Amino acid sequence: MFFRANVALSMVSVALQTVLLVTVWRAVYTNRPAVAGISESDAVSYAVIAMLLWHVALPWQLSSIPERVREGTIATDLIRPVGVVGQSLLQSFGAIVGAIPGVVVGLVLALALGGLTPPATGAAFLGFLLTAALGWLLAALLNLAVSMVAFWTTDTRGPFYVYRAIASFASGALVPLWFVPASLRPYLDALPFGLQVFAPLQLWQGQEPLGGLGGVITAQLGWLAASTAIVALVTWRALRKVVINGG
Amino acid sequence: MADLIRDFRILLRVAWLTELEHKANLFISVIGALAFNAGQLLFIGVLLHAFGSIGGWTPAEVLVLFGIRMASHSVYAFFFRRTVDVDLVVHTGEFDRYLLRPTSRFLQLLMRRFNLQQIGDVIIAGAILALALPRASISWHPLLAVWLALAIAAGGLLEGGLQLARGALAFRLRNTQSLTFLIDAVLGTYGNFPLQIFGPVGAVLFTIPLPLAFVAWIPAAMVTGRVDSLWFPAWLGWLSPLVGVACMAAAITFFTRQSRHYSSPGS
Repeated sequence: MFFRANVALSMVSVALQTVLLVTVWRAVYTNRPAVAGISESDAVSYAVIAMLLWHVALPWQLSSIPERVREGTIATDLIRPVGVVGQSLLQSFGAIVGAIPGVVVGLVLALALGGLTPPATGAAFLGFLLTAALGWLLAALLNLAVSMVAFWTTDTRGPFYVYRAIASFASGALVPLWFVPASLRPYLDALPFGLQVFAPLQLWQGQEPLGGLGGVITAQLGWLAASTAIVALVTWRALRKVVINGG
Repeated sequence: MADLIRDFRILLRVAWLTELEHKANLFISVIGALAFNAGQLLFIGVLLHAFGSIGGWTPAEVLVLFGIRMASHSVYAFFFRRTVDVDLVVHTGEFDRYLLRPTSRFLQLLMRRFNLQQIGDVIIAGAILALALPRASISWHPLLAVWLALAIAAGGLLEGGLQLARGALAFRLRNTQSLTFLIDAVLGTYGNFPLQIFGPVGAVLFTIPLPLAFVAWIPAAMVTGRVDSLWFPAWLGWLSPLVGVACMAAAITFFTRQSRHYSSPGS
């Protein structure tokens, strides 16, 4: 809690975004009972929960690795008994704890504004929790794989921006994938990002995601295996490339 | 003043040459900036595709607003983006060097690195304005074109001023990262909407305490003639670029004052 002010500002940030999201989605729905078969209350609720999921899954700092490579402190990480990947994943998990106050503020505020619809059923809620947790793990692994570009280049802004733009849009965090033109959907469905936000939220709202609950979990496990392999491969290559800064 | 301009030229040249030294990196960074802005364009595009219009504004009018916002952001990103680095400059003790050099600390902050990657922003902004302006029914006049250019520059000053004022807080609060992202997110996402959609109270809030309206909403309403959306007399809208200039001037003063609270980490 060294940076208390930052935690407080993060809560203010989530609160403000919650209010804005609720207002924007209600405004675009003015005089429209439903668009693409989605009612105003479902769209508002989706937007708020998607923002909160994304707040946890795609933090501004993808992992601690770029900073530690730049500072040269990665040398210390390499000699620790827990590998670099393990340390970074555990730090990402710790970051969830730091994000909890913001998530709670967002949920409470959305409830107060009448912007949250409850899960369709108890089973839908359980399905949401399970797929959202797997989706977070998938996001954490992909964030880690992308952040390892820092072993090759000191300036990581370009690759990070590309990743962040694609992931934010394709996950359905910016705009629900119901509204995306049908011609784009097959490309977005082929990517792992929709499994992190859109599919869990479809379950929350009692909709049948692509392949049903079983299909989503199978796809998530498949992508988790692929991401693990990618992380292992990138780590293997990166540790042969690592330059320790600072002498 | 002449010294300040000379210093600016020297620092700009150094920063420019530094960026050009790593051409592959520059190319990837430009692609990154293009992708980031294309993401925002997709967001607005999908909304317009699904809903047809937003707040009574036609897709062309919304795209003019988006183009103005993006162009202002390019001005900010090109000249003032390093205001987001204040946290880093304070934590690492880089600010020690600024105190020792015989030129403006603010200038040194801006020129610690020149952001050529923002060419990506300029490309997207130019493309959107070129696409949207002819499609919106605008009664063009040379003075209107000049005013639009001024309004875009002032929007960049406003965004830079907000980030600089936020950065100045880092001298006391140490970490203001969340506020950086909040300003980025609010301007980058909600700055793209005609603000009357937030209702009368929201439109006032986004004009007076949070000056988001001056970045794109007011300029777009003035240029497209949608002044019926504004909550104040239309003639006041022509004065809106002054707010950006005032915001930057106030932020520089605030930054200078807050920098007196700097405590070196000793590294």
